[in-house]
Amino acid sequence: MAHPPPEARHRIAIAVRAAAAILGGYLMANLVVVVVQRAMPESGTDASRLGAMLGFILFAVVAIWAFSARSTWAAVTGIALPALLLTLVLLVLPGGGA
Amino acid sequence: MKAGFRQSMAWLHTWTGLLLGWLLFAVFLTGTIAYFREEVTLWMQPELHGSVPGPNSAALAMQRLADIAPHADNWTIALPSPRSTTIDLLWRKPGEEGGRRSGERAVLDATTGEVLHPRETAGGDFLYRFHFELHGLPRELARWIVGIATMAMFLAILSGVITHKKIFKDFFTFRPHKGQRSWLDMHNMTAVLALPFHVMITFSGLVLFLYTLYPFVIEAPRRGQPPQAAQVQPQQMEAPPGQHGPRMGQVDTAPADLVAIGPLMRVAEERFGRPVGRIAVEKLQSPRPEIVLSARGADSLIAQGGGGGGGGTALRFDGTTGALIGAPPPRELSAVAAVNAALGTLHRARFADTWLRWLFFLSGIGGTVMVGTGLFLWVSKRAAKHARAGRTPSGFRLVERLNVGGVVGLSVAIGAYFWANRLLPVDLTNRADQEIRVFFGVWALACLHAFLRGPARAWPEQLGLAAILFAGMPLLNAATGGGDLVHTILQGNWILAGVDLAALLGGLAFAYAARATATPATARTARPPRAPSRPDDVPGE
Repeated sequence: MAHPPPEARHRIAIAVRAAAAILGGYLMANLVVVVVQRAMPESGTDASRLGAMLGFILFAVVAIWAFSARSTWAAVTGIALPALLLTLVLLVLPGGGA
Repeated sequence: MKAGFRQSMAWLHTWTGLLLGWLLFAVFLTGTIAYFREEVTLWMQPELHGSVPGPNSAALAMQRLADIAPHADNWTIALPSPRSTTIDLLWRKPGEEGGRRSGERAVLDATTGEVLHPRETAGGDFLYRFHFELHGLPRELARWIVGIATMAMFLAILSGVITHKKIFKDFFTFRPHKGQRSWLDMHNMTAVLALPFHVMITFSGLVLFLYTLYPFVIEAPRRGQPPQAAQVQPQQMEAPPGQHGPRMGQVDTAPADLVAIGPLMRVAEERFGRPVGRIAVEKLQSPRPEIVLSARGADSLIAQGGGGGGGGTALRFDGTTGALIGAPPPRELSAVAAVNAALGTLHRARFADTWLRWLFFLSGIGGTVMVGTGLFLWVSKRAAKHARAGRTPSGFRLVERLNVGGVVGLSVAIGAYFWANRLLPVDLTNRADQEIRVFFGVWALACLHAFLRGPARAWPEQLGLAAILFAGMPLLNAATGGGDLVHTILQGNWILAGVDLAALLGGLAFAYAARATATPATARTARPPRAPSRPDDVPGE
């Protein structure tokens, strides 16, 4: 840490990253479940289970990203954009737009 | 935030580990003991210790049920197994719902057929339930808390592996009696040694919480109805021609004459290739009762739990003629369902024989030590720095004391729980709840003790107490009506001898740790600053 930021700024940055990791990660995990459910409409519980397992992994990836991104800004946008993308995919998939 | 991927992962590893470390330690320790929950429950019921499995358990059980429960609609018999020495009976009256708590039960001596009266105990089941539903909290809330901790564990494992680049080299490094270095080596060694186990147990733990953790997008199946039940229920067999389903029986008559069980057992065991674990007699009040024999244990990772008698492999016989009526249809599981079932089976070691179960147990102990040493590491890494600065922040002091209460205090509480099982009066009302009360009471006292005495004194004192409690368990067992260790070993009763021996070994480990922490307290917490450590393998800060 060459230039330690002031204590307060440091704390806010960590709070923002933690929020991005937890809320963003949970949002992404839920989105991926719905995407898989929509993509495999005939599979029923299988789709939910597959989505859930992918969701757990995605949550971990999001959290790792949130704390390793260069800047707080990059951490947040790096989660918000893929989440937006997943939402768009949801709207495009048949059965979407509800 | 730091520059560098590895440093930021070290940070993530440190803080996810610390925040949920005490809960994870408790989950790991109680969950590990729960691998032997049936054995522990048997240990906690010394009234059953005299029962020795005999060759005629099945016939004996059928005969006794005809005496005890002639008016029942169905009987279920759990035969002795490598994990149980008694015959467990369950029967239900006509029209009774088939829930987990319904029906009447009895336990038989497996040789004499005598009805045994075990004491009321919370048993191994309490430790099992605690490891994923805690205690005294609303079920869903408790599952959320443990679920969040499990995700933190998953993150701590991933970030720990990323942080730790010299993973194999360090595995062969152990530097005892070196303060922080020793904690670090022990943390790395237990983590790397059982890494596949840690990843498996954590991820499968998440998957088992699937319906809790995704309430918004995945609808939970109704309670008491496992998701795959429809696919593998042995009841789903074609009815033989000429039979029109269950007929209304005349209630309150003795069961129709049943065929001898011995020949059916031989047919089933030949088909299964392993022993019969469970006998169910159904439609007893009809003229054509049916006998279902289920194989003991699971034969594969994707075997379903729940209704199918442990493995889903079962044969159905006509109870009056002994004719084979049906066998369950072959399992058809999709790839996803198979992965899902395999994760659940792995987590619970459902398929495991005795040796594999011990391997899982040891891996679980490895995980417990990993979480514990991780917590100590947080303290010992900062101790030298604070000592140099001449002041210790309150957060540091809090963690130091919580470590004693959360790690050793819990161990003392578990030991006290076993002692309470033997020392509380046998006819105490709500005895099981009283055992649990002792557990939490002692845990709370241990935490209080850590705050009053300070960590330097609390460490050796509590470790010493844990050593006495655990190492004393074989003596306590022998002195309070249980099968004594010499006897059980000579008898080859490894269920009871195993619990006694594991407790004894645990006690010796605590004694060793007590001695190590009792010698110069300064060596452990306030070491003089060492030469600059290699920054790349020290997680945290």
